[in-house]
Amino acid sequence: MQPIDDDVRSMLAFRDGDERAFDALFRRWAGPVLRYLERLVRDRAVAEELVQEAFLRVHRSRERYRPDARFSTWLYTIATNLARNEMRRPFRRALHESTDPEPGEAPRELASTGPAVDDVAHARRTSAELERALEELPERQRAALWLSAVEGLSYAEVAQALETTEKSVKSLVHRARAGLVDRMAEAHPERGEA
Amino acid sequence: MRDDEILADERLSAYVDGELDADARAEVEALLRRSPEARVRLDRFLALDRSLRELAPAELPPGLEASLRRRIDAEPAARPRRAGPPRRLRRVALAGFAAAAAAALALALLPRGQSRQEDPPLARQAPPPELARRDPAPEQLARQAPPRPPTEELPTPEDLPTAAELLLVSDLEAPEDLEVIELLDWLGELDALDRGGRG
Repeated sequence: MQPIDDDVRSMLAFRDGDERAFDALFRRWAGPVLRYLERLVRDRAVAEELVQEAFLRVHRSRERYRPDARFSTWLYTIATNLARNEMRRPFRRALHESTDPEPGEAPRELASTGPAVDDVAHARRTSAELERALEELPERQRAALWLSAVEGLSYAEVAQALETTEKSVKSLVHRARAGLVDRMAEAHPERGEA
Repeated sequence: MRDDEILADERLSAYVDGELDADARAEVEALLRRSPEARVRLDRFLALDRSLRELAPAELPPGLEASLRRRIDAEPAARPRRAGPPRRLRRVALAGFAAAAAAALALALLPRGQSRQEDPPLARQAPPPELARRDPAPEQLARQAPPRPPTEELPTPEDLPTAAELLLVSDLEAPEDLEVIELLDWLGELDALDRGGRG
């Protein structure tokens, strides 16, 4: 069994009736889960709805909770299953298969302190291109790379969240990473960047 | 890319994620010392991960927590796993649920039942001579009509659940919300009610 971390302690306190512990878990994890879900379902409003649904399930399941894994792994497993169900819906599948970027969606800036105008423009362009390239990855590659590279889950934890093997996760993460790097290098050969 | 190159690339990716054991890690580090291409590849992997992390700060929209709290407050109160509504309420709910199901079944079957009774037997029967000569009186038709199937199994309006009973059902757990064991309880109680009604 994993050592008990703060999240597990909070979840156990919540199981014993401490609602503030649940609030603390929500504030700690709702943001990361939201950005993960947004990458999976590619729709901000749907992702927000799914975040609420994920935490509702945590709330409902408190009496059955057992600290067998990190809280975050359990939460990402719930979130992944919700996203999969959402993407199985026919109209959602059509959206999911589309590769058109959201019209009018402003890419986020990469630089934060007084960059030159050219750098800001370039960062925005790169960011938008990366978002688009990410969207075009197969769902499982995208999920595996995001959970590993951004959310910091181990391959074992990603495997649990995606209900697959560590070997498969290793391959999924590599294919996603190599595909994105190659695509970004093609888009910006002069900078040789990712 | 050749198979061995793919394997080396996959190992480099796992190196970035800190997923290699000591031996594999040493091999990758040896490769990085002797291969400029491997170093470029590693730099690109690392740069990609940085860009991904900067892509989306984990910000919550205002109001999301309040919205979740409203949904939680609207949830039925948590209950112990084997607890449930009082037995009497469950029976009333079951009776209402069963009556509603029976009424729905009856409504679905009634039109076909009527057409079976009315059309073929009356059309095929040769009318008695006295009826053939003149229009029959309604009471004669009623006497000659084939017996209706027994109606005691169909619910009368009095058998249908009242609005209050339906409300009671909806206030309790809907069957699809039950877990398997609890659903079996429901079915068991339904059987018990059924046996009680017969006995």
